Amino acid sequence: MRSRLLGRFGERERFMLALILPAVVILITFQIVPILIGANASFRNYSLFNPQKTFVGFANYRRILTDPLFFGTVLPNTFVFMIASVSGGLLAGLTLAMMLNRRFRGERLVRTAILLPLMVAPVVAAIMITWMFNDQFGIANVFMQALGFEPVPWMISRWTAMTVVIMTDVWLWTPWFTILILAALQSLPPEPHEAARIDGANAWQVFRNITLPLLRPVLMVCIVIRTIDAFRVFDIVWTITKGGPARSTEVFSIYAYKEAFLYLNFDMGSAASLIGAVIIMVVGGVLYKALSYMVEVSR
Amino acid sequence: MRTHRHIRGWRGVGLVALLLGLLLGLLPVAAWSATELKIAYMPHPIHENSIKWMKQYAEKNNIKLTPVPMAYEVYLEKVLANLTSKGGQYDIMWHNDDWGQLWGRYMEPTEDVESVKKMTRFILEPPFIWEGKNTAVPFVETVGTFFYRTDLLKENEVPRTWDQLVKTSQRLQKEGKVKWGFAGGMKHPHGWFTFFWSIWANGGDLLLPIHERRNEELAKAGWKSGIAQPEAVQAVEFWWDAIKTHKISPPGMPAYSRDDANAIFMAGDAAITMADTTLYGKFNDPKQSKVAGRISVAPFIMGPSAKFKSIAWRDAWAWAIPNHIAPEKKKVAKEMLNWLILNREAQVDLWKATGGFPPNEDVQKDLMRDDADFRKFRAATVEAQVLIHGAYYFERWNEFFATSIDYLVKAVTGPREGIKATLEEGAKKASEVAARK
Repeated sequence: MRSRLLGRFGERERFMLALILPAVVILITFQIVPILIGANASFRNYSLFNPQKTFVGFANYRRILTDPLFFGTVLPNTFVFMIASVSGGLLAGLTLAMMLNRRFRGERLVRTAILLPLMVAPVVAAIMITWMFNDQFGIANVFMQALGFEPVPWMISRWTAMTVVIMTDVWLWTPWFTILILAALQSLPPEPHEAARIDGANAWQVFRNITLPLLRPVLMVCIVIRTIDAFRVFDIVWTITKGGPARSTEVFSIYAYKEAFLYLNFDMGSAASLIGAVIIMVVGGVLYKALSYMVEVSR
Repeated sequence: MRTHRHIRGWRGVGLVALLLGLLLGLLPVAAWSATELKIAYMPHPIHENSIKWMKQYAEKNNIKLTPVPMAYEVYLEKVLANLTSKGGQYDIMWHNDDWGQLWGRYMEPTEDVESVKKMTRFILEPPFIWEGKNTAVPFVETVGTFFYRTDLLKENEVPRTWDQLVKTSQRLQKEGKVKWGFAGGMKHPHGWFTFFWSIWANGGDLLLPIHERRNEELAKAGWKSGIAQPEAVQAVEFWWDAIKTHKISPPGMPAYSRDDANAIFMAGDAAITMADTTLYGKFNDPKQSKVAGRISVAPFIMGPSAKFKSIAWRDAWAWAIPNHIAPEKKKVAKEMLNWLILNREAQVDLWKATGGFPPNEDVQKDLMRDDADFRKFRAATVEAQVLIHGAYYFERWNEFFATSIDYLVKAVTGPREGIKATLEEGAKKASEVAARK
């Protein structure tokens, strides 16, 4: 039986299978099995203090999908964060890349300095930001007062707290956008730009009609990767606001985490995670289609 | 000739290498012979004090002690993961009273730890009793108290009522002596230091009937939340006014943890704060606190609706032993914890260094006789007319606690006229959580 099965493959295929086997085993053990266990938990009454683990069908999913907090706060926050953070990082990254795409004195130093946020662990950055925006001791309010404004208690309202979180994420991710876009800019062919200038196009027209369309595939790859990553943001939101005040800055991953590990409803936490997985698969699918289209168009 | 000498030389090197190898090989063997106890704890003065004394015991008894620090915010989750997976990360763990019923089934009974008999039953039951057996060894009593600045307030000037708190704070602020009258932690899980004490000091409670902590009685009453009762609504209105109208507390307070509030008090920016007595040592440490040497304690500041003169909570933080660890480790851990509580020097040091009440009642009696500060601390706290537990002991407490705090924060950060409606919505939600099976 064994030899018949293996006999279907040639020596080369068997060698290839042997090479990928360790990776497959690791993937199954640490990814597939936990996902299946989680999926199983989401269909049961599964909590730390309930050893019965009774099968409840889609009850946990129903509870999440009818939770006003999930639709009224968590999903909007997740998408607001995703859109604001990705577009903010992209715009800042694009601007910096355009500025750096020329020769100037101190060019290397500036490029290195711009990379610094990438070297800071997100949690460390978030702790720094929390102190900077502390209403009593933070530097942000020192500036506010120097400018003649009242100090702001940043963390007690949804939108000021959310703004701090988004700004932190933009600060952390801008260098990543900058590097990728700068690399793309430096690999663009010079001819279209030269031709446009000869035809009398100004700098904005060159950027708008030549540079940007040529950058489109790279920009789309950046957007797709960052969007999926931003959807599952956890560390900086947890460190800065913990989803507060009063759950008003909770994003999807914090919601699932709180259900599972704070309220100890492993069933609800698993169901929330799977709902999130479906949402991000849909978002990812749409973005992937858009990416394919953009790449096709730019050819 | 040269070759022979060369070979002999190499033999010598080989011999030395062999000896070294044997020695190095023996070192771990020697280390293995010591029992290792890994301790899960939170970096906090009382934990550190307790561990300091455990280390002394460990050194004398060939125990290798490995303390594993964890932040309070992730402690529950991490320890829970270890308990549910029967992992080997910890052999002794810090066990907060309000997790008692949650972790009860995973904990080793400690009925055979003799020193527990030296403690008041109040701190053990209901928190740590699981299926009729005690599952913890309390190492400190945790009681909340009001800390005030003695350079700003004489003992007879310390506010006794909410109204006095407002007036005293405003006077000090007007005189430019202090930035804020009161600062305390508000957000989850720090609500004890504002919302909870004020609800209790106003005659309210988180669940009805008030001051009841037995689950059977709470269930009989339908797990009815008390946060929309008039006493609680009045307490939230008091905080709303304190922050927005009277401006005696920082505007950012609804987002404060206890650490934020402690930082303000220790920076000398607040006249009064509410914290566990266990922070007395930290507040009095000149390396950390600008107000060191200028603080004292006072009883709860009472609200207008309370039908009693004074109230306080009395609980304990404990060490506990997971029931899945090896029997020999359990034995060593129990012996060490027993020694810790019976060691008078360690118990007195706990009080002197941190302000935490030693759970050994014999030691407390001695301190009452010999230590004026201890008498003052006790008078401000556990000698109150009404003594309650600072938490509840049902399985969904953590979710109930978070839900209640979320609505209290929502109410205090929203419009004043919306407080009652927000709390009614919160009470409904919190009751659902508490009653859920």
